[in-house]
Amino acid sequence: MMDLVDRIKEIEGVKVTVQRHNRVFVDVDKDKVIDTLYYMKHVLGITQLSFMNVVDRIDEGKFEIFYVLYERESKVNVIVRIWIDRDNPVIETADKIYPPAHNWEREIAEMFGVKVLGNEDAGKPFILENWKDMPPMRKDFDSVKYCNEHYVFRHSEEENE
Amino acid sequence: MSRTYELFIGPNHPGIPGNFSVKLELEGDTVVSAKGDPGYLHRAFEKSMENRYYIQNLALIPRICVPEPDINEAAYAMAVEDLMGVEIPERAKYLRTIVLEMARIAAYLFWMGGFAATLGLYTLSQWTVGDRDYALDLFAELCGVRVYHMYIWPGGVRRDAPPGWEDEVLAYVRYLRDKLIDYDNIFFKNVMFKQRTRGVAVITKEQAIEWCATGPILKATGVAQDVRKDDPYAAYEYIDFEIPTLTDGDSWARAMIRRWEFENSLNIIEQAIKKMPKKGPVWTKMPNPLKWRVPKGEAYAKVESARGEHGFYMVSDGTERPYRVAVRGSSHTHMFTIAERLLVGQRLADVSHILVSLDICPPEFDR
Amino acid sequence: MNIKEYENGSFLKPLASIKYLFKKPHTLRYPYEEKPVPDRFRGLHINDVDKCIGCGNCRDICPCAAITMVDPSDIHPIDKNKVGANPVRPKIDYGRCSFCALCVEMCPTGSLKMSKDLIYVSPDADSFNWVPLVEQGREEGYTQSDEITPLMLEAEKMEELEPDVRKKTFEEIVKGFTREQALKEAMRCLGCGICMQGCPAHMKIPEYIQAIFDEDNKRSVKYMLEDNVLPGICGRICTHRCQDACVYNYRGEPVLIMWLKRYATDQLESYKDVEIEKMPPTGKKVAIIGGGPSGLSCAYHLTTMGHSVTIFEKGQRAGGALANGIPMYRLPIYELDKEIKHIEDMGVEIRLNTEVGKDVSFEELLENYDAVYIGVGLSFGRYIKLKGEEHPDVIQAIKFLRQVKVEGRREIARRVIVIGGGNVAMDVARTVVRLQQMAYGGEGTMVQTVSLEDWDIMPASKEEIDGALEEGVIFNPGWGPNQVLLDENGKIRGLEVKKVKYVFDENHRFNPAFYEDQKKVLEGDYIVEAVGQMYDLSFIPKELLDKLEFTPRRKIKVDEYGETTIPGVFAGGDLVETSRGDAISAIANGHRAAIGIDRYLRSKK
Repeated sequence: MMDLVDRIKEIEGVKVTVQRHNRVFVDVDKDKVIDTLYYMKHVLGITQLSFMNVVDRIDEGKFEIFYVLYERESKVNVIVRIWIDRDNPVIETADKIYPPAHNWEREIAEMFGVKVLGNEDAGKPFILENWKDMPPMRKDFDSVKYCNEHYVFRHSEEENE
Repeated sequence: MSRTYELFIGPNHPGIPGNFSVKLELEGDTVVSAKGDPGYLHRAFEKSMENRYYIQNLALIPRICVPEPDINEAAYAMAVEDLMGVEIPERAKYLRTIVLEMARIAAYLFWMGGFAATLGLYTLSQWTVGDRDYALDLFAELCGVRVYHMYIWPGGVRRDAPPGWEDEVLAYVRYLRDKLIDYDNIFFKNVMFKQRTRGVAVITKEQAIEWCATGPILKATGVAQDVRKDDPYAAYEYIDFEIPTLTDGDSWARAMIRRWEFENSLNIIEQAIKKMPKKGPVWTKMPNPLKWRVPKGEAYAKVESARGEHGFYMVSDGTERPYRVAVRGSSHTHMFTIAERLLVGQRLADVSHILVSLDICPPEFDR
Repeated sequence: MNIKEYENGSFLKPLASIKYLFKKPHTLRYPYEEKPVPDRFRGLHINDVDKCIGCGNCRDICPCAAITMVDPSDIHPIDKNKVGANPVRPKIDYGRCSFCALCVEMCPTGSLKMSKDLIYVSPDADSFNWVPLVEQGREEGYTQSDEITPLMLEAEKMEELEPDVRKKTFEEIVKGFTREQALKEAMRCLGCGICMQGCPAHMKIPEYIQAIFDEDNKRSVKYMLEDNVLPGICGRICTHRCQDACVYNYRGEPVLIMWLKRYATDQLESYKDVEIEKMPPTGKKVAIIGGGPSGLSCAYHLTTMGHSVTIFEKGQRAGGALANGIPMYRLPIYELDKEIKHIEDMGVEIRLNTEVGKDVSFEELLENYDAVYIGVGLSFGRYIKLKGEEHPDVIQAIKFLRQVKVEGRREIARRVIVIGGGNVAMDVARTVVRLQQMAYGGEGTMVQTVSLEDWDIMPASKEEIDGALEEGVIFNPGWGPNQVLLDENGKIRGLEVKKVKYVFDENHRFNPAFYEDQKKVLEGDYIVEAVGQMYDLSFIPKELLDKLEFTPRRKIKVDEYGETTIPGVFAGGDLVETSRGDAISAIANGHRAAIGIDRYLRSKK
């Protein structure tokens, strides 16, 4: 495992944090993420993209995008993280490197309103249908308020506050 | 004049594994393109979890995957334990293993029924779904309900097994071993099954790796990858089992891998019950649920589901509620990356069983 | 598994299924056959509404917001006045319930359970919402377990000085929580607020515990000061009825609310930085007679309401029984100074060594001030009217404690007898132990108490009795004093006691009776009487005193706002019926009188 970590550390401009249980967090500059992922797949041989999604860091005004990668030989999960501007959330697609990224990007484009350059499907309706409000997984989207505005509740009695 | 036409399979179609739909473009009965259309089952679980206490999410997470709810509970609990740095008691590890394998058995029984049904063999469906019910009864005895167990929670499990439960499980395992001979006779050794599935929807090893397949799909192409072995959780590190692999990569191989895994699970349960400490605590004390603060941090916990790698990415900001819980269901990749490519060029009659051979579980992408 | 066997399919093998034609089916013929339901089944709820206290923890934990708290009177009458309970019970919406049983796990009384029944059929969707009762006749299924429960049933252990160490010194016995202990203890609180019903002052306990948990001690003290002006003192010597009301008592140990309060106040060197709302000055003047807890409380709250207040205290320092009576090992004097300093900082004027009736007359106060509050308390020891009581070596507890705490008395006899079984008697006995250790190193010394009440009805709190026992105090419960015995030199040689037949008569009134033939002699050189205190209202002129009405129990009669039968004169503390003889109820009725005085002043114009 340390072999792989050492090789990741050699990549320019990354910050590597080794966490318990074969988890390695790699923080990368947002402009370098595609290069890093390319390097990871084709040079380091990390072939599997398990997961990719977004954490809304609203207090910092950022979106954190994470790519959970898996390296089969050393059995290590490498988690690449980038922080992008929340007001202008743009990333470049990784689907040329990892095909499943294509559809995870569709999901995050819809749920967080992240713009994905180079992915023509991202931004088209995926899970939601006729959605007109702000992207629903953002922290400032108040789901309780939305429900109260859009749905009728069955108040059996007056006790529901 | 266009020679192709569009056909929707689902959301209400007997050949679709759950509440979702696939938009097919066909020429004659050959698929030209296939697009998955999710959203029929979206319940905003990830958003809801952010508004609830850690313990309250116990009621939500099993619902992410209906046929095999326990993987969610286990992954969620593992993520919380990871963040809190909690070690669970030995007996709880084994109980988790038994429950997870029981759930895997139940899921495979369900899957066998579904798969046989898409090939027109309904007898096996009746048998396996009936036999699955005995597993649900055992769950009800263990934790009080049949489907959404809410049994595995952070720190261990919610109750110790009632007296005599282990023997009942062993009896059930023996019963299934006997039944498996009949399953083989009627289905897995049936020439019709072989004819319909061999050489259909082949995925090569290179493709499987490129498309990031996990679970039985990957094993069917010859890659021995299994979270239970690679990153052991619960009591799997103490248990001796092999990861089955085949090299064909077709629909047949995927089905056979699952049948093989099913047999494996029976072995694992027997071993786990034998090795489990007979007495001891099953839960590490956790804080008061209303003031349960999990230290700041991020964790990725993964388990091996019946379909592949199932993971929870959890972010805590140090408060009583999770900041973000993201769920990685293996069906997301299997449907949108693999099935959409794999279905192209197939015959319409095979679409259903190909989808089931990939074991697409819609709740995993409609979270 | 041998994969080779499967590679060639067979036409004949499926025929094996034919044997199932002759097998018994797996299905049950419902309703002729019924499926056995496991013991732990999580079905519809059962709630023993008589046992339930309406704390609402089930509602708070419900992930689906399926539970609302409603008054169930129309279907099941409940005792609405029960202390330590809210007059509501859970109503469950089965359209929402997910049968997770977290409500059952969280129920502090164990009244809520789940049944083995999951079948309810109705065409009316609104009818799936009901108050579960026992009468509904469902069989018990999933119940809570004592081993595995999300509730934290065990309290943190408070560090105390060992008996051998503490009995040599007046140092505070209880060490107080460390940060970790306090956070852990604060975490236990469920925030249901049932404890507030136990507290005479109705302090905002869940809020200040939450603030402690958030490590915001300033906010915590702010909540405390809203109802209790002496939180640091109550954090040490309170009778903590809140803890007796805590819902954890049903299944475990109560949250140690008192020690948490002490922890929060100890973290602040002074309350200067605590934000306290103060209303604009009204120009009204109020005189307060007596600087005890009720007077301080009344004065402080009146000041925050904008009135200017003067306290007249006859002693050298304010605090009443807190300053004079309670021994140092329970309440160090610097704690009291800190809180009194805060009251003075808020603008209360305290005139020490000023006795009403001597240095200033009661009429003057009535004339010069817009309202007068009497909070003189019970500052004189009661006599038993015992034969030989007038001997100089017989002393009243309150006098003795003042001599030790304020005047620095250190000399003590070798063998001391304390008459009484209340907390004051314990204070005296434990103080004597310390003095004897200092004077004689504990050699040849003895302290014994004698009380009418036997162990089971002894009025002193359990902690005090246990503490005294650990320090070597000898108890003689169930004996009543008969006479003081003197030797030939006129020195006390002992106390003759007789066996008690009963303390309370059949009407539950205090009316002790004795076996006159069963007597014994307790040897001792010095006797302290700790049998209660009384008040002295002689500073009030006769014609006014006549106007003052009293209750049958000889307490001053006041209305709900503390106003006596003389307009503009208020009373509180131990002088009125609402007092239970402890600091917190004095603080509470002082606060209530402050509200009354404010109303009186604002209506007077």
